[in-house]
Amino acid sequence: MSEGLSSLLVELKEGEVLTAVRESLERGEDPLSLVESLREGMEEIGGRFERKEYYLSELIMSAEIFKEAMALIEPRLGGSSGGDKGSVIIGTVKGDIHDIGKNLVVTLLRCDGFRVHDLGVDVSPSDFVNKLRETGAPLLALSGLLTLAFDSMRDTVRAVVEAGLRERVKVIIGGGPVDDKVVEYVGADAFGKDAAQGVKLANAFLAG
Amino acid sequence: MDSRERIETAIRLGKPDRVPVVPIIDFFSARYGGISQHDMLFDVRKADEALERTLRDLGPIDGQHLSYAGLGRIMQLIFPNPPVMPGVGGEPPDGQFQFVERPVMGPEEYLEIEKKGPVRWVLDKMMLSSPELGKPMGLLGAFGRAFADISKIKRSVSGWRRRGVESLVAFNIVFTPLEYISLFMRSFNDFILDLFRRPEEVKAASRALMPFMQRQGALMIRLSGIRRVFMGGTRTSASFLSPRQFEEFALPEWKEMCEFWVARGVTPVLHYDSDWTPFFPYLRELPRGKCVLNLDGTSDIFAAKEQLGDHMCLMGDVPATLLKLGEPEEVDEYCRRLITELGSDGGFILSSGCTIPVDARPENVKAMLASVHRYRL
Repeated sequence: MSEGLSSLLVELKEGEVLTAVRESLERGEDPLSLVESLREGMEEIGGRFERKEYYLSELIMSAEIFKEAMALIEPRLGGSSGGDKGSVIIGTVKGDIHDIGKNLVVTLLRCDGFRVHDLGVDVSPSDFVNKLRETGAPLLALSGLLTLAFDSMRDTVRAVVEAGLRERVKVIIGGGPVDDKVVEYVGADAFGKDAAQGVKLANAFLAG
Repeated sequence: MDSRERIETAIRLGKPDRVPVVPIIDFFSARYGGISQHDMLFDVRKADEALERTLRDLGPIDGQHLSYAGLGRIMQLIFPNPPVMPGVGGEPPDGQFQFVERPVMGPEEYLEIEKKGPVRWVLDKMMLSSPELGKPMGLLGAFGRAFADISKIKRSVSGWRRRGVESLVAFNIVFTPLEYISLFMRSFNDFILDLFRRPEEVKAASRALMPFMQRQGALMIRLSGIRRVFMGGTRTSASFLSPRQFEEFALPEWKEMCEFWVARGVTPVLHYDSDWTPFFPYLRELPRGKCVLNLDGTSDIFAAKEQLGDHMCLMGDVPATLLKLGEPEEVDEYCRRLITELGSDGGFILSSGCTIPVDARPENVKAMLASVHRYRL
């Protein structure tokens, strides 16, 4: 069954995934094993995306099905979703309100088992710093589409340094025009060229 | 050759005396020229003065690509979600213009467009941000003001043409139905999910909106007198859609729209943001020598040359990041590559990748504008 569930998700069969989850729960199957199958499916989808066999629309649809399935499973989990890879603070930086990429990273991080604190758009450096302090999160993800966002990202990293948090916080950035030059300008640790790579970076940094 | 001939020769895949340079410059020139973004968007005379100062200092251009100068009031009127407009609603006058992404259309509405009629449906959506359009006097007043603004922009376009700066598309902006629905009506994520969940309804909406979009574009062309049209593409790019989805949903629209304009002697300028590289082979289905492919620095423009160089004029693509963070030597080198590798046998227009960013380094803009004179064909 579990393998079947994972394949149905990979094939993006929304109705069949949800039916399979409902039936499995009714049969009294272990909800954690269902979550595990869904995560396996998401991993396979991530691999296909990386190999350019799947495109972003397929990633978005799979994340949506995953979310719907989790909504059915979560009440049976008793508070544990079976995976907590750590906390990530994320937001679109001050002066920029673009959030398509940021929202996608949020969704994929959650699917992958991260605890995500999404601060929204047009987020000031002090709001990022306060949230880092409050949560103790080891990873900060900054997003922006405008070139003006580079300056806000740099201001945010400076604020993290001034708050004495930079040693324990990794900073990743993303958004349309971001590249290595921007990483250097901003003082970040790395950039993700797409949402899937952002999740990969989060895994690499939090595992390390 | 004058600027117009140079641009038209490149569009028809010919080899002009040199590569023409036609950037989207007005966000940058406003700041460089000492006026706010608000003034640029709402006062075309001030925008013209700022541009004049910019070109005097940084070098001439053959044409302006899409210009937002003087379009502020019209943009406030037509978008169901009011954009973030500098100097309006508490925004700083020199802030950045940005679109707001918020759904104003439910998933059940795709079939309503045809039932209600596209004009009524679109007008109802516009009324969400401009309620005055619901009353006859309000409607007349709003469109009267829009036409007054258009007249001012037309005067500006004529003035620049007399000075040898061609307006590539003026305010002739058209969207394909699905780009329009995703950008302004349904929002990105919901639109993507709809492609999976209700494909036939999405296609019905596309069919219902197409003639309306074409009529709207034809009106703009009549008003501007410029027979080139700006068609923005991003939501149907390979950054988002799979090739199968592109073939099923988007390609038929792009073909129909381009063929419609070409049959009327109008040149579609396909302003393609995001990554279109995997979809380049499909673009060979568009009429040969009649369209411009304008890339923003995300797609591989050198691959476009290989795959489409004999089929459509290429335009682009000095990246915004390079213009802000690069050195003039790097900008010059990138432009040299573009000019020599893409332009040596014609069919190429040098431009910014999307817009020159408001905070580009002036010396980088200068290097870009100078490159077309430095590297002759």
